Amino acid sequence: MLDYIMNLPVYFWTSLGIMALIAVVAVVAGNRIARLDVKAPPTRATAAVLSLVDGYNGMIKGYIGKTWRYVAPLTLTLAVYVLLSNISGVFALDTPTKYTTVTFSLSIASFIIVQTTGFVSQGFRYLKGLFEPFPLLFPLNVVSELTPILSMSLRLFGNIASGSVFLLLVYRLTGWLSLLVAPPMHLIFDIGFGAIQALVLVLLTIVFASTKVSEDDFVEDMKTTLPKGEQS
Amino acid sequence: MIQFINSIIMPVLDVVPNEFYASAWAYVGAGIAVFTGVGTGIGQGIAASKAVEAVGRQPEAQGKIMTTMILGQAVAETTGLYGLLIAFILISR
Repeated sequence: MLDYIMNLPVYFWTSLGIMALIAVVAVVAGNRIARLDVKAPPTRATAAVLSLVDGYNGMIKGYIGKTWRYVAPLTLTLAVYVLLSNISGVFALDTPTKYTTVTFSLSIASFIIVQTTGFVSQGFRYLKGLFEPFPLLFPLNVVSELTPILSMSLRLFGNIASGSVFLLLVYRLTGWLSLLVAPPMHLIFDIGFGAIQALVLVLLTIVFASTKVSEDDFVEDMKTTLPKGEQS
Repeated sequence: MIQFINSIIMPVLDVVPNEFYASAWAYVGAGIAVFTGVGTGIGQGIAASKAVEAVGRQPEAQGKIMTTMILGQAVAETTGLYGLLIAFILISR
């Protein structure tokens, strides 16, 4: 057992470290916000966390109607984890999203979020939607639900792995000059592409989930929330 | 089929079928597989040009257009990444 734990790959420990960092920061921030005084102004870090969560909730409400409270925390966690693990190449860590095991598990998580959003929004009527135009199309519908697992995981893996391979080529090509050449490349391929891919993964999850939400649910929610949004 | 191709190519190029022969063709295959990026590049360019047109017509909707453009480009990028994946597999042979 100890031998198995000691022989785990490096990216697994990087992933665990990122998860521990997110957990500690989230618990500390949640504790601070729960004990927030009404009269005293919040500190700058607390205000930043509050505005991030508030803006994210507002974005989710635009895509998904009534059931935004189910989708928002899960996808925000996914976004923060994917963003931090894409960026971790800058800190000379082994990027976890460079390996297909991690990206496949992330896209399976996104698949579960999308499917359970359908169940939360529509109940078991959601299963009837699989037989939608006519019942003969059921296998095709199931396949079209399952293929995003493959395409999302390969998209994340391909972008991050190609970036790291390109950085390896740059380091081999330039030798000691890489002290000058490598930092802008890190800026593009680690931070830029990593941020874009985290945005794309989470945004695709939200868009796929918004197709599962029943239509009348959404319309009712828009009627109730729009006047409040206009006032603020 | 492979023997037929070899029977044509081997006299022309004057190669010896030693243990590096198969891996050499794997590298050529990796180079061909990366050509999927041509279609991906054309598709992403079309998406970007249409987004520029849309921003020029409606500058106040820039944020929404940008998000939609990045989403469409990422979906279009997937086919190119499949070719890259096959190239990785062929290189590691």
